[in-house]
Amino acid sequence: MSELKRILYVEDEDDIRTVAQMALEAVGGFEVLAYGSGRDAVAAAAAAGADLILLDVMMPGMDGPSTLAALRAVPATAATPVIFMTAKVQASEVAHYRSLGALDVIAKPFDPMSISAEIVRIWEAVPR
Amino acid sequence: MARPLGARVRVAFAIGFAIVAIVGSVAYLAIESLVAHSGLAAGTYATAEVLQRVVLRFQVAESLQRKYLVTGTAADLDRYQDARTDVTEALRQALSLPHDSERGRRLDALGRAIGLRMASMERAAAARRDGGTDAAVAIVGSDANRLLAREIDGLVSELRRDDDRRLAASREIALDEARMSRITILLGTLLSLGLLAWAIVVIARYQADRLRVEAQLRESEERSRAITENMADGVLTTDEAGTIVEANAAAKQLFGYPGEELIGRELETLLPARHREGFRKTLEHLRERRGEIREPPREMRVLRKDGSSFYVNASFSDVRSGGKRLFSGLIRDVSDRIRMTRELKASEAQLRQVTDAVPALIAYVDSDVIVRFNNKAYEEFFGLDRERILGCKLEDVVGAEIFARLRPHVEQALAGFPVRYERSHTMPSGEQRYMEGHFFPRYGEGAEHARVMGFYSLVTDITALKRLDQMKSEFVSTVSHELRTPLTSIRGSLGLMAGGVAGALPEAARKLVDIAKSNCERLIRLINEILDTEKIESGKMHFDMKALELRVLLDQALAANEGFAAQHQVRLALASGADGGLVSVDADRLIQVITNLLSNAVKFSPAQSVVEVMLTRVAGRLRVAVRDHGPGIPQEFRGRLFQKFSQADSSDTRVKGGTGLGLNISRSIVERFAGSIGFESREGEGTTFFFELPELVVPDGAAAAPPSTKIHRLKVLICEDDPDIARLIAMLLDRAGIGSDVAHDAAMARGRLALNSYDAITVDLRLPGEDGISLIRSLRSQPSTHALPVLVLSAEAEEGRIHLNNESLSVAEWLQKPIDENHLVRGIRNAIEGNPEGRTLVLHVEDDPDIQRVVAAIAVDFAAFEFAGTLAEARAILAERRFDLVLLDLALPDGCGVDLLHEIRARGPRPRVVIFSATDVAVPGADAVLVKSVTSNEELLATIERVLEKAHP
Repeated sequence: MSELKRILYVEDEDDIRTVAQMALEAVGGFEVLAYGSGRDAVAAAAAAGADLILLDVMMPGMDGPSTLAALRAVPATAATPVIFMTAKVQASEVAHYRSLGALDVIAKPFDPMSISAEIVRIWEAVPR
Repeated sequence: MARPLGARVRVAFAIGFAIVAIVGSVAYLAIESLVAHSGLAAGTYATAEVLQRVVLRFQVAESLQRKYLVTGTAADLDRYQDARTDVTEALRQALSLPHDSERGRRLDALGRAIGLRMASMERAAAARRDGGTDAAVAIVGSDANRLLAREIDGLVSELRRDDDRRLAASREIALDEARMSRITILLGTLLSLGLLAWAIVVIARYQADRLRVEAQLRESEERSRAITENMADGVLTTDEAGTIVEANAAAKQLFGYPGEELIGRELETLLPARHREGFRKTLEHLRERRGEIREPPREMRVLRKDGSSFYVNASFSDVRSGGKRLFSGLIRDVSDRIRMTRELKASEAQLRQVTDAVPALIAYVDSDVIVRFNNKAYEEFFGLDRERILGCKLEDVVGAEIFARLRPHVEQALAGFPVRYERSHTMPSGEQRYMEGHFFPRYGEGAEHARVMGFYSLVTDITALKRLDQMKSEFVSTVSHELRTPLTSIRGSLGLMAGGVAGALPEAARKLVDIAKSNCERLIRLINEILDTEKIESGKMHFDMKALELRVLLDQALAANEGFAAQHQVRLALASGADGGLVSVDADRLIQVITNLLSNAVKFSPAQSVVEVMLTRVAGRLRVAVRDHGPGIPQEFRGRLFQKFSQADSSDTRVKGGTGLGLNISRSIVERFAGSIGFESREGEGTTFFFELPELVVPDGAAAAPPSTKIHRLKVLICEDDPDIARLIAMLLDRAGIGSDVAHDAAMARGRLALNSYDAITVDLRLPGEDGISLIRSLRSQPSTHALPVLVLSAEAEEGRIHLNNESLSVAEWLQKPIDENHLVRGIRNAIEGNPEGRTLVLHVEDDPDIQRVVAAIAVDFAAFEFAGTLAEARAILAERRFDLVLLDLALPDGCGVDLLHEIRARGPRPRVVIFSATDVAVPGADAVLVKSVTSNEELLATIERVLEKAHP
C-alpha cells in the first residue's frame, strides 16, 4: 500500500463531485470511486478496495463523521486513511476532525490543479 | 424711669403727709390752748361780773335799807327785803363759781363780812320797825358797822385786783400761744410750699420723662408699623372674634383689597367657603387657649377680593394691645413655591412615566451606594416594591450575589469612571438572560464639581440582542458556507479549464476564464474575510498560541506570496536585521497578517519594484516592517486605515482586488498577540506597514527549572496624575496579585525607578509638566530602563498610538481608558512575562478575590493565571482561549462549578480540572479535589504540578 491509486470519494453536491473527480483523475491520475451519499459509499466500501477515503463533512443524512464511523465498522476500510474536505477549516475544527481519526483536512473551495498534489503530500506524511 | 419716679413720689407724699400732720396737730394744739385760755379768761370775767353783781346788789340792798330807815314804809321794807335776797343769791352764785383757794378764802371772807353787814342792817331795820329812827341810826352809825363796811370794800378791792391780774396773765399766755401757733403754721406753710414746689418739679420731670417715653414708644410703634407696612409678608391682625383690625400694605396687596377695605372684615371671608367652618373652630380653640400662642406655620389656600385663590404660608400668634387680646397672622405668598413643587412633582411624575415606559432598568445610586431613584422595570426585575428599593442599600436591593459581581463596577463608577459591563442573569424561571449595564458617574455642581455624587445605572436586557447577534453570526456563517459550495464548483471548473484539463482553450476564451477565475478567488477571499471579521467580533476566533520563531513564519509567508508578487512583477526581499526570536502567536493567523501586508504592498507597488521586509528587534519587541515604493497613503485617509471596508480610494478596490477588511483583521490579530500595528507613509515615496510583537525571553534552563514555591510578587509603577485613577489601577492590580507604587508625574516616576526595581510601568500620556511620551522616550534612552515594559494607559491611547507611528517606543500595550480590568492585567502580565501562552496557563474560577490573589502568588513562578469570578465569565474566557488547567471553586455566584466541569469534560480531557472548594466532595471528572483551608500552599502547588505532569508527560 505504498502507492496511492484508488480513492473513495463521497460528496453530496453533484457539481463539486464532478469537478473534484475530474481534477483527481485528470490532474492526479487517480482512480476515483465517487458516491453521492455516505450510505452508498458504505455499501460499496467493502468491494471498493480504496487506498484513501476523501469525505465531505456536511452532507444530508449521514454526514462525514458518521460516514467515517460507519466505514471504520467495515473491515475492508477499518484502517483506510481518511481526509475530510470542508469549508470549515478553523484550527479548532481541524483539530476536531483529526481527533476523529482523519489524516488531515482539505479546505473548500479547493484549487483543482493542486488538490491532487496536496493529497499526495498528506498521504506521504503518514508514517507506515 | 417709672420706678425711681414712683419711689420719689412716694417719699414726697410721705413727707407731705408728715408735714401736714405736724402742722395740723400744732395748729390744733394751739387752738386748744387758745380755747383753754379764753375759757380761763371768760371764767375770770364771769367771776368779776358775779363779784360786781354781789357788790352792786349789796349796795342796792344797803341803799334800800337806808331808804326804809328814813321812810319806814312797808313798801320800802319789802323792797329792801327783796334786795337782801338778791344779795344772798348773788353771793351764793359767786361762791358756786370755780375758784382757787385764795380767791375762795377771800370770797368766804367777803361773804361773811357781807353776812355780818346784812345782819347789822337787819337789826337796824328791825330797830326802825320797832322803835324809831334813832335806834336805827345808832345801829347804822356804830363803829362796828363802819369797820365792816370798810372790810367789805377792802375785800372787794382785793378780789377785783386779783381778777385783773388773772386776766392779764391769761391774756399774756394766749398771746404767747398765738405767737407760737403763728410760727408753727408759718413754718408748716413754708415746708408745705417747699414740698409742693419739689413735688411740682418732680411731677413736671416725671411728665417730661413720660412724654419722652411716649414719644419713643410712638416712634418705635411708628417704626414697627412702617416695618410691618413695608414687609413683603402680609400681616393681618384680628380681634378675638376674628375681625380684622389691622392689615399691612403687603396683606392688602396680597388679598387685593385697597385702602382700609380689609379692616372690619371677618378673616374667614378670605378663606374658601369649605375651610371657613374649620377656621371658626380653630379660632374658637385659640380663644379658649390661655397663655402665649405661637401656632406653627401652615400652608393654606386663600381668596383674593376678586375670588381667585392662591397659597400662603401663615403663622399665628397672639398679641396683647390695650388690654385686648388680638391674633396676628404672618402671611407669605407661597404660590410660586407650591407651583414649583407641583411642577417638580409633575416633572418627576413625567420623568417616572418616561422612565417607566423605558424597557430598561434605570436607577440612580448615591455615593453611599443607596438607591435614590428607580423606574418600574427595575422594580419588576427584582420583584420588589418601590419602598423596598428607594432609600435602600444597592446590596440589599440586588442581593449579595449580584452585588458581589457589581462591586468593582460600582467602585469604578464612584471613582468617576463610566462603566460598561455585561452579565448573565438567571431568572427565577431558570431562563438565562444577558444584561448590559452602564454606570454613569454624576459629579456635583459648583464647589463640588469634582466630587462624584453617585451614578446613574442603566441596565438593558440584551438577551434579544445577543440572540440577534448569534443569529447574525449564524447567518453570516451559513451564508458564507452556502456561498462556498457553488464557488467550490465554479472555482474547480474554472481552474480545470484554465489548467487545460478540458483541453487547450483559444486565447480569447483563456483570457475570459482567467478573469472569471481571479474574480472567483476574490469572492472567496471576501467571504473568508467576512467570516474572519465575524469571528473576531463575536470572540469566536480561535487562536492556537504557540511559541514560534518569527523568522520561520516570515519565510513561510514570503514563500507563499512570491507567486502573487511575481504576477505583479514585484520582487519580495527579506532584509534581516535580526535572526530570530520567539513570539507567542497562532502561526496561521500571523501568516495571514504578513500575507495581508505583503499583498497590500505588492498590489500598490509599481511593476519591477521591490517590497522589502525587515525583521528588527526594538526594546524587547520584534518588529516586522513591510515597505513598498508605491504612491503612499493620502494624508486624509490615514486616520481610518484600519477601519472596516476602508480603502484609500474606493476606485482602487476594483483595481487592486482588496476587500477592505484585511487591515482591520490584521490589527485585531496582532492585538490578540499583545502586539501593535502601525504604518508610516510618504506620498509619492511609499508606505511602510509594521507590527511589533513582544519577544519571548526564555531564561536559561527555564524549561527544566523546578517550580519554585518562592512567592515573587510582581510590582508595577503607576505613573498617573489623577490620584483616583491611580488608586483604581492599584486596586485592580492588587486584585490580580500585582503590587504597585504610584508616581504622579514624570519626575517622581524617575525618582521611584532610581530607587526601586519594577517589573513594568504604566504611563498616562497626559501628565502635568512633562508628558507621558517624553517620559517613555527618556526611559528608552536610559540603559537601566531601556527594556522596562511600558504600558500606555490613557484616554488618548488610540490617538497616541497613531501619533507615534513614526517612532518606535516599544510600548507593550496601549490601553484605552476607561480601564478594562482584564485587559489591564493581561496586558501587564503579557508585557512582563512575555509569553503567558508559553507557560502553563491556569484559569482560576473563584469569586473570592483574596483566594485568587493568594493562589496566584503561590503559583506565579510556573504558571500564568487568569481569573473568572463567575461561571459565565469562565465560559467566556474558556471559549476564547485554551488553558492547561482550570482551578475551580464549586460555589459560585451564578451556579455550581460542577456544571462547568461537565461542560469542559464534554469537550475532551483537557484542560485538566482541579476542584478547589470549601467542601470535600468527590467530583467525577475532576483530576483532583482540594479543600480550601485544609490544603497547605505546598499541597496545592504539588497537586497542580502533578495534574499538569499528567497533562504533559
